[in-house]
Amino acid sequence: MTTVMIERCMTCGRCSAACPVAFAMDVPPHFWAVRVRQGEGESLARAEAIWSCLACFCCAARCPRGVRPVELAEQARSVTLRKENHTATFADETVLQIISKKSGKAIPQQLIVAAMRKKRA
Amino acid sequence: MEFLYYPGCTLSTTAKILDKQARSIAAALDLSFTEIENWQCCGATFPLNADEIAPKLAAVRALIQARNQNKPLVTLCAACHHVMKQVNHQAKNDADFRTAITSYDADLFYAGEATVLHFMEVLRDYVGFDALRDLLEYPLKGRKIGAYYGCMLLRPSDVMGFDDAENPQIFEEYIRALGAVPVSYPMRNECCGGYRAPEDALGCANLVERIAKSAAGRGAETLITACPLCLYQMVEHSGGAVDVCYFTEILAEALGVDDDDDDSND
Amino acid sequence: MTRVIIKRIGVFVCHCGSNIKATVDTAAVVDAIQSDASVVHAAEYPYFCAEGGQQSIINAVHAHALDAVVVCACSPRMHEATFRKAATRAGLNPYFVEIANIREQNSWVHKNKEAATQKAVQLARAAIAKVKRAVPLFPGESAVTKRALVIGGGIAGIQSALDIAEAGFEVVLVERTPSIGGKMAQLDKTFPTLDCAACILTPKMVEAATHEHIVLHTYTEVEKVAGYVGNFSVTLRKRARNVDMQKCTGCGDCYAACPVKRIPNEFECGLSNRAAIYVPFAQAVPNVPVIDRERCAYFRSGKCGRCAEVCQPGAVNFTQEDEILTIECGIIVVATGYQLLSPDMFGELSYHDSADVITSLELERFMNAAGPTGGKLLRPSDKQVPRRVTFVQCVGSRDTTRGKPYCSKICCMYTAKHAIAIKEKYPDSDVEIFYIDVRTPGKNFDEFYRRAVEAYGVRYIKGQIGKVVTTGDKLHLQAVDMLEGRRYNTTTDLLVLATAIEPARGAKTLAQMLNTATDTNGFFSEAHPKLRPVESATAGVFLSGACHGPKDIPETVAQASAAAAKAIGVLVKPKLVTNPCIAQVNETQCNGCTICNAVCPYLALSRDGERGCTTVNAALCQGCGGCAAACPSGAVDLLGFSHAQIHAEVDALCLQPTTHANAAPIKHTNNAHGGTTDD
Repeated sequence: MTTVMIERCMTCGRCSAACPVAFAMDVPPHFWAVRVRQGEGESLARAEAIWSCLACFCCAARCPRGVRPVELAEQARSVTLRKENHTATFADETVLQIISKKSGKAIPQQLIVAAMRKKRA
Repeated sequence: MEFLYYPGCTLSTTAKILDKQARSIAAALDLSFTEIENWQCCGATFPLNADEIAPKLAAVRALIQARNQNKPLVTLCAACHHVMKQVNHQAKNDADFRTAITSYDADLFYAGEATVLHFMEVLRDYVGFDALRDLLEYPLKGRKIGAYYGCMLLRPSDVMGFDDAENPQIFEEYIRALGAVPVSYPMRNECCGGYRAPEDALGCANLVERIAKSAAGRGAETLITACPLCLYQMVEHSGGAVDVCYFTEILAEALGVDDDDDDSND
Repeated sequence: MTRVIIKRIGVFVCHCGSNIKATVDTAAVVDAIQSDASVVHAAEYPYFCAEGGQQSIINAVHAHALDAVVVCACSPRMHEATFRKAATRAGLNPYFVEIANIREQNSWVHKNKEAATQKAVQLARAAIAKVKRAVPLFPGESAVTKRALVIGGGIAGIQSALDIAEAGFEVVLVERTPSIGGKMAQLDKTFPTLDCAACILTPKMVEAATHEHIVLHTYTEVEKVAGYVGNFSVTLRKRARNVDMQKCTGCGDCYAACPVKRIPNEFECGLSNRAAIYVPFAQAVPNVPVIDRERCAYFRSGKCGRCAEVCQPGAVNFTQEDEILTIECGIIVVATGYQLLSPDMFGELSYHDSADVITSLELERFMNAAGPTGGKLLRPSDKQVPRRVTFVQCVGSRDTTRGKPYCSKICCMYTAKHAIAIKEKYPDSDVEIFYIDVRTPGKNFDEFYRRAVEAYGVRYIKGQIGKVVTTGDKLHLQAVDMLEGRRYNTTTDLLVLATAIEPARGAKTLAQMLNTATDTNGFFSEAHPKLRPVESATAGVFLSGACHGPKDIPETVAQASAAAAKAIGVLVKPKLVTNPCIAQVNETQCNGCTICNAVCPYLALSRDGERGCTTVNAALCQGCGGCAAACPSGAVDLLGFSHAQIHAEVDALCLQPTTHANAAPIKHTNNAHGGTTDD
């Protein structure tokens, strides 16, 4: 179940062309709606790609059909986070990683909060 | 004109300078900024899952204050602005969301009535860029300044209503009003990679480099931004190709209200 | 009107093969309706619309001295006319025929045979009740003005005008720009034969301008339309050219002398400049310049007048004013064409940012020998021949968010054409096309596209471009290759956008003037998508070319000729038969409140001041019935659908007991009264 209108996708590829990080994704955004449509949402939830999504909304902004792959990524992350009952350590590690860097002091608060958010159920 | 001001967590910590400059500018322009009472962190990201309610309550509380006091809610940080706008939009258009927030707290009855403004919109729509031009003590003559919009102010454009998400002009008009030459470059609305900063420094460096190169290639000497995370990323990864500062800095300078007291920015 | 008391009704229940019979027990229907004392004959038959079926109705009228006929069959849209003609042949007034639609509104939408049978009986009873209150109606006649007005002077308008003129009727051809020719005049070559657009168009332009039956008004716009089929009265504003059409020799001295020279030439998509006095292009018809008053120094400041000084025949006339013309005509052909959607909506493609991102129409001008570069494909930025040219299709087409939801239909083919033309001219160049789907259903179309791939080595990439970044002299494309399933980043020298087609500016305003409909995208709507594709819903208004939807040239010309044929069909008639089912005002009941006047979309109603009541202009009334519904005192009736008839139908459906005592009562669904589904 998703609130994204996956049936509207006509696989034109503009999302993957727009995405600033699609080049490094195992499953680029133009596959996402199709995967869910074909009942393979699970395989999307297992993809690395959904964790590298920047939530920059370029895919949604340039999609000619009003599909929002960015939302599918977040929903797919939730599948993992909620199902596997991820403990806080996953997120805490990320935060630790941030502030242990040598420039850690300058790191904006919003990044720490966002990183926590992304990885907590 | 009276506004309710929502500073947010970053402006209270690593981006104190942005807060300080904005307050000085507001004072100089006779804008009455009242800091919102007991504000809580907006969460920095807007949860895209419709069923995630709790992370949006902080924004709802701020918006309710703005509605009740009948004052526009003003933000500076791009992330705060994004979250406030998105939550406001959802409260206005999603009845299930409205019901859900009242189930957390019966007092949280809210249907998107507040007006959320970015400080840049206040400058354009309440002060006016033309009026601003007339108030300058030190116009930034000959300076070549590029705007770095990033993502969060622009997209999704139907919710943010900030500007044309693919060819925005508001920052350029602002730069022009300050007497400088706006430098438009294609990458100005692309993402700095901030959301991946903790895990993928290399990827971020790659994105930032493209943005900085695009700006420098068009002759920009300085980039201005409204987002502390964008600023951090640019400083961290652009290798000094261009200078980056908050958009308020150039106005503070042009108005003559900056005091070079940098120790608040730690 | 003579009131005929109808006492002897014949009911004819059609099987329509198995279309009705499979779902409706027709014998039971025949049985059931005979309980009505007025029904003196009832019969069933496999196809009443067939010759034998019609004859059986005629025979029954004679044999049983019937004075009215009810046919239980398909939608009246299908065969009402057929059965009215049969009734006429049997000596009845054709309006004593009533159709009960037991196919579209019954057998096609229901599965339960028993319930459908009962519904068929009820629909038949309603029709019987209605026909009992019928009055004989007689169609009127109206004259036909033997003149056509064609709006729009592109290839569609030119073709329609020529065809109508060739049939011997006078045609007024109106074009709002200074020259006829339209979009086709801007094109270089045409697919799939690659013949030169100008070579095949200009003879037609000249023919239209010189045809003895065609009066040409360029630089002219429609201001007002009044009247109805056969008798339109159209007001035109012929804008002042400020050049005397009779005196001008077309020598061109004036625009050579004009000091205001840096005005972007609309015909050249702004790629080159024109003067303030100008002809849009060399082969313009008429070859008479116009003065662009907004730019002209004389009109702006009163100083200058150089054009008038150099004009030998003294044709320049600064005092000329707009002229208002009234054209009486019998029919109107709409041929207003299309325009391209602005690519500014798609900022990520950098049309606003880079001169080397152009539209397809701009490319046409670059490739055209008469264009701004003399037919050389030179990059706008550095005037060099691009080594690589990239095309991207569906910019704004099939786009429900920022563009148009429809396929613009011609882009796949013209892009293939462009690719071939570039490869022909510059064999060493590299041509790459990004597409979503290649759509080439047309005669010799797919072969043409394959030729681009196989014979010319054009590289088609299934994918789209997500971002264009210009750095130095290169365009960096951030794209995707869908067949590889991954990102494809590349660079190019020239990027051509196949932007969507949209209706020409002002189409909606014109549609309102013509009282005819446009679809959700602003294109003119046809009367029926299959069976009346070139007629608008307004009688006497015909559609020609891309004003009706995206079309290529062959299709446009075909439709233009079809519209002309339909138009000629009206113009040849000595008189037009008018529909007698129009509004009728009962003057004793009408209090002259004029509520009905306000709702009439055809301006057919007006208040007679002397008598203090509304009167109907029978020639204008189209029988929509809006007034009858609006009248608070029930003074307006729609003939053929009078209040008495409608009430009788409703009573028959709602009050009368069913004959099948054992059948479950029928619940009326929306289908029973909904629109027809006969498409």
